[in-house]
Amino acid sequence: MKLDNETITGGQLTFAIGAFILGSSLLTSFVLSVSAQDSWLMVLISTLISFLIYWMYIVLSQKFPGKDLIEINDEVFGSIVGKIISLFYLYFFFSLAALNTKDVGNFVSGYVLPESPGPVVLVMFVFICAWAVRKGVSTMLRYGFLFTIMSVLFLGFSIIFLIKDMHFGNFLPFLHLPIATYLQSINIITIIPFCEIVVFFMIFPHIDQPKKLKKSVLFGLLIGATMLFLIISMPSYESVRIINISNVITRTEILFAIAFLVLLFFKISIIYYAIVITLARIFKLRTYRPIVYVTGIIIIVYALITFDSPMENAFWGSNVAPIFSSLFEVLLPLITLIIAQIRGFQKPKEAVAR
Amino acid sequence: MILFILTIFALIALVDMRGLLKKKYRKELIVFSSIFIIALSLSLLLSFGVALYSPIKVSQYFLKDILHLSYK
Repeated sequence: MKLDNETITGGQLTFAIGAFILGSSLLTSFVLSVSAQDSWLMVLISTLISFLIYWMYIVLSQKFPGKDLIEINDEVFGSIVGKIISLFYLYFFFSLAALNTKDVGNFVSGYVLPESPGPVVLVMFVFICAWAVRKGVSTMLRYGFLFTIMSVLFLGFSIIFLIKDMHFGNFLPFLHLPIATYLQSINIITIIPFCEIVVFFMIFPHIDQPKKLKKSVLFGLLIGATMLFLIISMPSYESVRIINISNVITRTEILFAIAFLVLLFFKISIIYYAIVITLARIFKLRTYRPIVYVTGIIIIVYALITFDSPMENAFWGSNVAPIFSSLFEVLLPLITLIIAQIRGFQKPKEAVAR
Repeated sequence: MILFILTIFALIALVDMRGLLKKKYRKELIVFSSIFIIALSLSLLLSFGVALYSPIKVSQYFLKDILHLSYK
């Protein structure tokens, strides 16, 4: 059963994954508060771990070509247990969307528009996302390339302008924190920016050539990881403020803010799409478009009540979220894969798949 | 504020329900209406200033205080 007949190309998927990972670049504060100046090394190690987890996702997705996560659950666990697991995923996707929307609110009311009331920003933001979701998946993903290039350009400019103010001695001392801190940091980076890709399980079935899936997903990870590495070790939003080229080019941080918001828009739209498709699959609907707006309102309400203060949010992000999310991003797909292997679902031949 | 919420919900109902009624999708209409009612009641409660308990805090409590699975 297909909800829509849209297809995407491998290249679009690559850049969408790159832009999705970059959408979390605002959240690097969770990592920086834990492993400080050694975070760049942690990004490299987590990229290697993420390669393994992505490989697991690809194997799972290729076992069931043309099926998304909810259909896979139904097939592997049977319809009742599968539904319960799908409901857990629904809760997880809702939480992801709400937390990311909350970050938009915190960022906008903290840096860009300190005077305007928070809910107004959230309502407008989520409604734009809803508009994108109603247009369908291929329209949404088409912009991944543009957004990635845009953020590469902004990042490149800020590195060039800031290179005279950089002190490479700030990377020292090297590896002086206790080892548990590094494990925590690796866990955060692996789970929060990289493995939220689990929502792409809802988009994988739309790819036009399933053979290309592995290449485009891993290449997308590479783009995202490279950019995240640059962002974590180079300028942050606060440091872009000090760019001042002979009083002509100043206050360029608003460009950075636009790039962040656009990337977060992209990320939230994809999570939002995953929520709506999950709902439509659980209730076996024939179309997903009518429930888009009402779901958006639930996301807004959820985002408004998540945490009372940014401090609680930061505590959650660096201490509890890595474990909460690994349940859904690593443990559940792994269990699904193992059970699928035991029950003997074989990869069908290409002729059957398409 | 309440007027604003009611206007938004009326607009959503107008836009989305019309297509569903036209195509006679019964099951979709039921699911849509139930999500609609949940969303409407949640946002009205929020605008009346009722302190809703965040689901994310439930999982934080569960993981941190019952299972002791957290870094701090």
